[in-house]
Formats: sequence, structure tokens, C-alpha cells
Amino acid sequence: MTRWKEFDVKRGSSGPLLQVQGLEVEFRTGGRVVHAVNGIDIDVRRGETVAVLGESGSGKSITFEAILGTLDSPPGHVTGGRAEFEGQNLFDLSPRRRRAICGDRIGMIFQDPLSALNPVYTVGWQMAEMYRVHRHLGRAEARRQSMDMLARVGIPDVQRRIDNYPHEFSGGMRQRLVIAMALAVDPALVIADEPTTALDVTVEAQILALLRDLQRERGMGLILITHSMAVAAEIADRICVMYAGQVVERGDVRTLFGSPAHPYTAGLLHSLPGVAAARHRRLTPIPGQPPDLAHIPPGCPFHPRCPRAEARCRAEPPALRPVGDGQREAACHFAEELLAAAPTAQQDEGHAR
Amino acid sequence: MTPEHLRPDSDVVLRVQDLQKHFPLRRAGRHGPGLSIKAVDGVTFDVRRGETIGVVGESGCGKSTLGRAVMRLVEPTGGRIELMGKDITALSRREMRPMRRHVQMVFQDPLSSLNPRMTARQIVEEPLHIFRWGDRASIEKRSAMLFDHVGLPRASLSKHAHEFSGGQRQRIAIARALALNPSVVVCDEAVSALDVSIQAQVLNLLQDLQKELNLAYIFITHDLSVVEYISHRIAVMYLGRIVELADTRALFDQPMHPYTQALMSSAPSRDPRVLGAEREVLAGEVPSPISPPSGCRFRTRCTKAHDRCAVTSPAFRSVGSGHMAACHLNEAGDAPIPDEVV
Amino acid sequence: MTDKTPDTTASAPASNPRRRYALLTMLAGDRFASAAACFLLLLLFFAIFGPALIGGAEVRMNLGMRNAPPFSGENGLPYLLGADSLGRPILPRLMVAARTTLGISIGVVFLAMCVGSALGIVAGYYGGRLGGAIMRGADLVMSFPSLLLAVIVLYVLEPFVFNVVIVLAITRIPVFIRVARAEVLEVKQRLFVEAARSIGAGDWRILRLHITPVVLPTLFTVASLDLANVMLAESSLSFLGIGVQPPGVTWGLMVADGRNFLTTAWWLSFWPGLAILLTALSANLLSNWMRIAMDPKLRWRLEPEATRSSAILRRLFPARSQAR
Repeated sequence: MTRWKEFDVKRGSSGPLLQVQGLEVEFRTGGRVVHAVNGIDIDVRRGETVAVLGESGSGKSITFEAILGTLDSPPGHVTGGRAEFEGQNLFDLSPRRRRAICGDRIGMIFQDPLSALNPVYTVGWQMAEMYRVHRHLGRAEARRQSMDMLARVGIPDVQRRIDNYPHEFSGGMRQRLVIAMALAVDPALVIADEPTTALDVTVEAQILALLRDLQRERGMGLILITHSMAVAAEIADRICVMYAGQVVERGDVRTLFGSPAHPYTAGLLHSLPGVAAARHRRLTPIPGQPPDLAHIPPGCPFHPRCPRAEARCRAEPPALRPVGDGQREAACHFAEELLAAAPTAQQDEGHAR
Repeated sequence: MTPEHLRPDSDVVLRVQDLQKHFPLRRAGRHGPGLSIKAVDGVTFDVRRGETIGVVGESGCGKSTLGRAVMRLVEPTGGRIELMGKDITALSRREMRPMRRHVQMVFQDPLSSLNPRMTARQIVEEPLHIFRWGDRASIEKRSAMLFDHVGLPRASLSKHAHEFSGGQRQRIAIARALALNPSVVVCDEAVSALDVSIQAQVLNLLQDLQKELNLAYIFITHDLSVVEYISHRIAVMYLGRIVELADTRALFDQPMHPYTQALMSSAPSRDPRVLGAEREVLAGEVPSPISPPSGCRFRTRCTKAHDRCAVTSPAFRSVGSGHMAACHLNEAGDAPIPDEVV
Repeated sequence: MTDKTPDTTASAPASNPRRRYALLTMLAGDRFASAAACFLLLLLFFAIFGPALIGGAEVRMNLGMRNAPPFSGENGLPYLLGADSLGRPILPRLMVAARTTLGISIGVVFLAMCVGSALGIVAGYYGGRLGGAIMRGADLVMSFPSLLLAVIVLYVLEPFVFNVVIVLAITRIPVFIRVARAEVLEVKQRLFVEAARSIGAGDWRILRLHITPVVLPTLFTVASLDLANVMLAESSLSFLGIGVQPPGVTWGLMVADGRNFLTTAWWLSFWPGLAILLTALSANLLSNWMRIAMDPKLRWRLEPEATRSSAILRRLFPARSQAR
């Protein structure tokens, strides 16, 4: 534990905490290959929240399963790229070493809190176990720290509830328990996969507020995997938009949503009923269906659904490149044109709340 | 668009009065009190031809049970449902069957609401067979037409449900619901499981179908922005009761019930381009529907609750043209709700 | 797409032969299932034509050949698998016994499955008092030792084949009642059943079109497992002398007959035992394969590779479900 701390200090906090480069994941079954992730670059710095935004099948969850080594393999295989966490390529490490790092330095929060908690042990026991395994604390000390942590995430009446079982808590409280367990041993990075999707809006607001506070308090890096633009906009500093296993646009949250430089991002915004309703407009959905990942279209993967697609898009895959003022990158041949044509968000701001 | 509440009464296709659905629980011991979950506890509204009434609320507020009670998929334990002017509350299952053609349902999860062993054609044609639509040829013609209507290629008629994508499956479910030309369609979280880009397609489809066929929708959802987009009027439910019912614009511009206000301020910004507007957090969670709080059910989480709220249950009363709310604060003599909370 | 496109002609009757053909190709692709199917077909052939082909060789006693060992060569084809304690050739006896054994066991399982499934489905779907009564009845039959029941009934009645079938069927019925009821209870909760009710489908239609087809494959699997049980139960009855009466012969009876000579002439019991084992195994393999082939959702596993990827994709990336 202490060794790690020293390591951190030596490295300083200038470089990215996690840097993923050119990650590729394939699923091979019966001679067929499904390209789930196709060359993804993502980096997270200390004290920063990055939202990975994508629809189902975009590869957003698979990416992090691959990084954490929880991918079902076979059929899943990492076929390229590296994931550097605190200066070490996770893919070079032995599975055992990687598991140790993932439990200790990287915390995970899942969509379904009930499946992340063991139903046959009390909450207090499971929390204490984290401290005992990772910090080698004694029984009493582990329990004391568990209580502190549970109180911190907003479990009321901890003295009494620490000996309850997971099913005795409501959905929102269970997600708080999972957050407490993920943050117990002070990880440098937390990966939250759809942490609020199963929750009601009022509870979602509570959980997001809690995550934001904890993140600021501890200065950890936070990766939020989500399908919801509203959640991403609310909590993230930077956003990575994924489509068909690729990053199509990434950048600062204000710039990216304010004036999207990729037609897919723009299409998502125009598909939001809230935006349309506020301006008494009809929705303009993205036509068609998401691509079959076994047969990703050549060129730009989005071209069959893109209103701007031209011959070039069908032939030449666009690279992720800096666009505009350098605050963001987009993978579209026509990013500049799109930016020039788009209205700015400020015009609508009066309406939207 | 004419204001919906000005339309004549004859347009009412569905009227729900003081509807109750209590699910009994096993008694605690032989002499224990007979407890029940009061999923729907006195709900009144009506639905007019061609309008969408949104029903919104958190999980456990009884909105799904309301939809299923209207469909007579669960038996109401009190109140009255009038469909096309006919009281259907007490109809036997056999008597109810001919009435079912007027009211149909689209469920949340399209995959589990479609029989995995049937083809898309069989699924869409089933209601036609049940109601003896006509001979083989006319049924086939109708199912092909329905497929065109909901935007599915006819070539996929003989595929099974699992071979379609999520959005396409929901189109099949919509085609099935429309097969018998219903007047009312209950949509229970019909777009909640879909991705944003697909959700927008289905929402537009539902709107087009409504205009074309003059359908009335009861649109049950937890998603405020979806309900705002598609509804003409919105009912906000909390613990088995409607706390506020109003035209969409009136509700969003001037919510009168503290719960509606709280719901709206705790919902995420509807436009992700507007940043910095932090959500107000409504504390606590929904109380148990087995023993709801006395008086006003929202009082345990309400920031404006006073002594009276614990004693008397506020009446569901008009607070403006077509705008109903159940809160003591809106009653005559009380101070109006301060502006800053809106 | 215009109205004149012939898409709509691909209706059910036209696609049937194609589907049958597809089933055969799928069967050919699965080595175990096709071997099982071949074995069962062969067995069926002997059960139907065996007695005619053999022409009484199975009862011809040859005391010089008592307990003749198998594969001794010089005795000719009928004695390939040896001879029993009365010098009767085993191979022809096996073939003739196939008819009675299969007849009894298939009859028993079929009868038990029909009655048990129907009762179980009714008990599961309607529940209430009727369901309770059916389940108590099943408990009653199950708690009574089935062999004892058979012994009592067959002592009172004559041990005709027909009576044997009825008695054995009664003892197997509760298994099907329980499985059918449990399955129906689960399927009944699924959304598509509620959806069917919402479009006005009556109970009979829901049972016939929405519940039974989903439940049936499981019942077939149970039936195939039960086949072996029934063959053994029948042999117990034969051993006690209240099953099939000599000169009638079943595999079970042959096993029982050979029991006295297990240490000196193992083949007397071994061959009929092997026949029982192989038949049960084949029935099992085939029913397992059928369960997959009949399920549109699982069928892709048996299909040629070209069509697989999309199904794999769907398994990997299911639509996000929001538990509400």
C-alpha cells in the first residue's frame, strides 16, 4: 500500500492517470469475428471526470471490461493497444497482479447494485472485508472505518444498519453501499458503469451529487460510462462519444454539446425529446439502425445513417483529429463545415430549463 | 392545437373515476390486521379522443398498475372505468373481451412482450384472428398494411422477434396494438428501454399514428422529457394518487404541487447544452405504499409541509383552467406558492 | 417496396418443406444427434419387422448351446452374442424384445406425459382449489411406493401388457404434473402472456398458443429421461413375475433372467442392459438436440456458420434494460 503511495508522489500528477491507446477488442465465435472495440484512445487525469457516452452496442462497457480484465474470454480477445495505468501497461501484467491493482487502485461501480453485493453477508462484513484484504486492518479497526465510510455516503443510522443485509436496503441506498465499497480503500480511479440507470430521477440526483462531492473531496479520476447525455453533461468535465467501437468525438463538455463537430453527436442531441419539447419542435431522429459489428461499414462507420455522407465517407475512414479551437477532436471529414453551420447553444439557453 | 380541455365532453373515450387497486398481503398471524399495498388509491381522470395523457411518477407510484387496471389486466378493487361510454369495471372476462378492441397496450420491454416462438406476422395477426377480422386474405392484407404503417419491411414478416433490433421489436408491438383500430392505446414505458436515437424514431412514429388514426394515448413513463414531448396533458402520480393534472405547458411553466416542483428540479437538465444548472435534490425516498403517511402523502418529503398536512388529506381541486392539484397550499386563504421555488 | 412484391407469399404452408429440409441439414451437422437418430431408427425397424425376419429363432431352444459365449464364431450369426440359459440365441431375442420393450415404455411415457402434462398445465395456469387438488393427488401417488402399487394392482388384475402399461403410467404421471406446473407458473408471468390477454385472447388460446409450445420442449426432455426409468421399472415387474409373461420377452426380463448367471455368463444380462442404456442415451441426445432445434432463439447454434454472427451479437449486446 505505502509503496504505491510513494510511487504516486514520485510520478507526480502531470501525466494521465489512465491512458488507453488504440485498444481493439474482438469476439471470435465459430469462425466469425465481431469487432466490438476498434482502436480507442481515452485518457483520464487525476481529479477529472470523463464521461464515455454511447448507445447499446457502441462498445463502451466492453472497453472497460477489457481494461480491467473482466472480459469473457473466450470469446472476447484484446487484439491490440495498450492501457497504461500509473505508468504500467495493464495488458503486460500477470492476471493476478492486474487483479490486485484493480481492486486496490481502481474502484468499480455497476448499474445493478444488488448483483454487486453478496446477499448472504451483512453490509458491515462486506465493507470490513475490503479493509481487511487491502489494508490488512484488524476486525475492530476495519469495522470502525466501514462505519465512517458508510456514514460518508449517506447511509442513515449506520450504527444499526451496518448489520443489515443488502436486500434490506432500497435501490438508492444499495447504490450508496456499492459506492462506499468502491471508494473504501481510496482508489486513484473509479469506473462507474451506468451507476444511475436503474434509479428514479430524484434518487439519481442524490447519487450523482454524492459522486461529484466524493470525487472533488478525494481528487480521484472518475470514468462514467453512460447512455444519458443529461447525466454526462451534469457531472463530466470531458466527454468521449462512442459509435461502433470507435471514439467519434471527444472534448470539453461545454464545447462538445454546445456545438457538436460530429454528425452523430449532433444527431443524438436532436433526438432528445426534452430539447425538442422546449422549442416546440418535432424530433429529428437519426435514421436507420446501429451497425452490425460483424459487418461494420467501410469508411466512416456512421455514413449509412449520416445526412452529410458523401462518396469520400464511404471510402475513407476519418481519423480522430483536432477540430476548431483545439478543445476537442472529432472523427469526421466534414467537422469544420458542421461547426460553421451549427447554431450555438447560447441562443437556446433561455428556453431550456 | 386547440386547448384540450375546451373540447366537448362527447369526445371522452375513457373515463376513470376514483379507481383503486389494493393488493392484499398475507395477514400477519391469524388475527393480524389485513394489510394491503395501495398501489392505486383513488385516481380520477378522463381521456379524450386523439389526445395523449402522460402519467409520470417515480417507481412504486402506481402508474404501471393504473395502466394495467385500465386494461383490466388487474382487477380494480374500487372505482369505475368507462370505456367508450360503457362501464367496464364489473364486466366478466368474457364480457370484457369484445371491449378489448377499443383499448390496447404497448409494453416496456418489447422482447419479453412478444412470444419468442411466433413470427412477426403471427404476432401481428393474432388479434385479427381472435376478433375474426375476416378471411385469410383480408387478414394478410391488413398485417402487410400494418407493417407498412409502422415502418417495417414486409420482407421481415416471417422472422422471429429476437431477430429484430430493439426499436423494430417495439414497432411490431405497436403494429399488434393497432391491428384492431383501437381508440385508446396504453403505452407503459414504451420507449424507456430504447436508445436515444431509436427512441426518437418511435416517438415520432407514435405521433404520426396518433394524427393519422385519431388515437388517444395513456403514456406512462418516468422520463419527464419524453412525457413533455409527447403529452397534451400530464398527470403526476405519487404513492397511488394523482397529485397534479394539467396541460403540458401549464404544468411545466407553473407546477402547483410541491412534488411536481421537486420532481422537475431534481430531473436532469433537459438540454445537455445548458450546463451549470445543478439539480435540486429531493431528500429521502418514497414511503411504503402499505402504510402511506396520514393526510397528504407527500408531507414526509415536502419542504412546505405544516401541521394541517398530517391531519387532512388535501382535495384534488381545480387551481386554474383545466389545472388540478391536491395540495393545501393552493386552497383559498393560503398564501400562494412563492415564486422562487418554481 | 410496392404492393406487388411477392414477399407476402412466404406464408406458413410454403415455408414448411423448406423448414423440414433445414431441420435435416441441422441434424446432419450434429454428429451425436444424428448417430442417436440412426440408432433409434434401426431399433424401430427391428421392432416392426424383426419378428417377421427372424421367424421364431428366438424361441428355438438348443440345450447344447446353453450359456454359449458371444463371438465364438463357429455357431453362426444368431449366436453372435451368445445364447441364454436355455440355449436360445441372444441376438434374435434382443430384436424381438425390442418390440415389446419399446412398445411398453413408449406407451407408458406417452400416456403419462399426455395426462400428466395436461393436469400440470391446468394446475399451473388456474391454480386455486383445482390446482391444489391436482397437486395433492400427485403427492399421494408419489409418496406411495410405485413398485408396491404395481405389485398390488397386478396381483389383483391379470398381468396383461395393457395393465402393465396403465399401472406404470400412473406411477410416472406425477413427474410430469410437477414439471409442467412449475414451467407454466414461470411462463405465465412472462409479459407476452399478459400481452396476449390484453389483445383479448381467451384462456384456451393462451394455453394452446402461448404457454404449451414454450413448455413442451422441457416435457419432451423429461419424457426421454423417463424412458430409461420405465424400461427398468418394467424389468423389475418382470423379475417379480408380474410383468410381461414368458414366452413374451422384454429387455428387462432378459436382464432379470441373466441375473443368476452373472458370475458365469455375464453376457446374458449385459446385452439387454446395453440395449436399454443405448436406447435411453439416444433418446436423451435426440431430445436435447430437438429442444434446441425447436427453439427459434437457440436454433442458430445448430445452423451453418454464416448466419451465426448476428445471434452472437445479440447475446453480447442485449438492449439495455431498465429495471423499473
